[in-house]
Amino acid sequence: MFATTEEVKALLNAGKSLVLAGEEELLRSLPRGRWIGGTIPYFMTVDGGRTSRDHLFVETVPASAHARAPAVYDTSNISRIGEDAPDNGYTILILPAFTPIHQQYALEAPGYPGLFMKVVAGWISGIHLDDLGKKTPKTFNGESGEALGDRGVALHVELPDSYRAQIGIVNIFEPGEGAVITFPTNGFEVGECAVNGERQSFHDYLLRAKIDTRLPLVANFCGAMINVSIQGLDAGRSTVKLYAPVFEGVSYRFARPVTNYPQHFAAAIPSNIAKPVFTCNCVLNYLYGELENYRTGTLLGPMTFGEIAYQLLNQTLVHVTISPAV
Amino acid sequence: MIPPATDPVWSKLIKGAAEYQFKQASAGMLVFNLRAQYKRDPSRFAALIEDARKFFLKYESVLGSELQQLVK
Repeated sequence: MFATTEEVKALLNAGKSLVLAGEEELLRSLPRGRWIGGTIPYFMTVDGGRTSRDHLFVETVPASAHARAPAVYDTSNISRIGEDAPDNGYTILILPAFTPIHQQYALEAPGYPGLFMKVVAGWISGIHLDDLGKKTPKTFNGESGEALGDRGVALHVELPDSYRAQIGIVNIFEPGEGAVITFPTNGFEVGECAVNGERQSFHDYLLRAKIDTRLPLVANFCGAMINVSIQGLDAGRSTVKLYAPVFEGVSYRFARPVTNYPQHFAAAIPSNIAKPVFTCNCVLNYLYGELENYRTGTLLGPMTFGEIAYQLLNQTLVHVTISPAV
Repeated sequence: MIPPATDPVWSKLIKGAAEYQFKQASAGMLVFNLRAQYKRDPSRFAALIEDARKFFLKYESVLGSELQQLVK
């Protein structure tokens, strides 16, 4: 639901538990309550892609569920997220972009105890691109009223035994026909790579091969297509910065080009999907796909600086749905 | 029915001796990660099999095609 602060206040006054996305000033103006939030001004709404500094995106915890008090995580305890998440339910985790906890989660989350046994989804908070250098991404613990610049916040939501939560990932990218690229180390900033087995500078390869860096690298994780998006080339350091880490020894290819983002998204969303309790999409899809004012189907939510479906993802849509247990 | 921990299917899964194209992304990510952990530390083989079995036991009802690939 795309809402004004007054509408959000009314939901909080009614005792609802919420996950919120919006500008920092709007989140700061809200009363304390059972909510978490993150900063972002980009959204997919019922009317299409929107940039807004005066509306929030609201996701309401279902009445049949119980949201625990918000949990705050730093680099010393984020590895507990899988263990803390409810055995039956879901967790929404928001981490601030460009911070040590964001980096740590991206690199280490796949090895956190119990992570894949639970339903852990979420997103990376960001800022309006016009505010780069003026503002920093934040997360919010609504219960304490704290705005957090270097910590993550999670809402652990418990479900009755009669329901199950499930994560869905919509990725419109698939590996293209180009070279196989591997990297010698894990990381967000890459110097060297191997292209079809031949060691070389990744920076120089992108220039020489005229790679469209709006397309992500894609790796096949036993059927799960995992994207890594290019942030930019650093000519001075001859390196390439990424929005998610590449992993040592994994085979990547640049994605096949996508010509019509809205159509691809609409086609990729399962037709029988239940109304999600949580959805987020990537801001790079918003920007590169020129989605402002364009609808991408029925899944609505913030357009973020990274998505979490267990581990950090890029250029994907993540949703959580609830269905009766079988 | 989830195979017991002694079944060779788990060894193939962890050691990467078979290729899988799982529909459930969580299964793909988990197995990919377990294989990476095994490469880093083969002494954890038994613990990694246990992690994989726990996952398949918990989500058996939605892992139909994954189980078919596992026991093929």
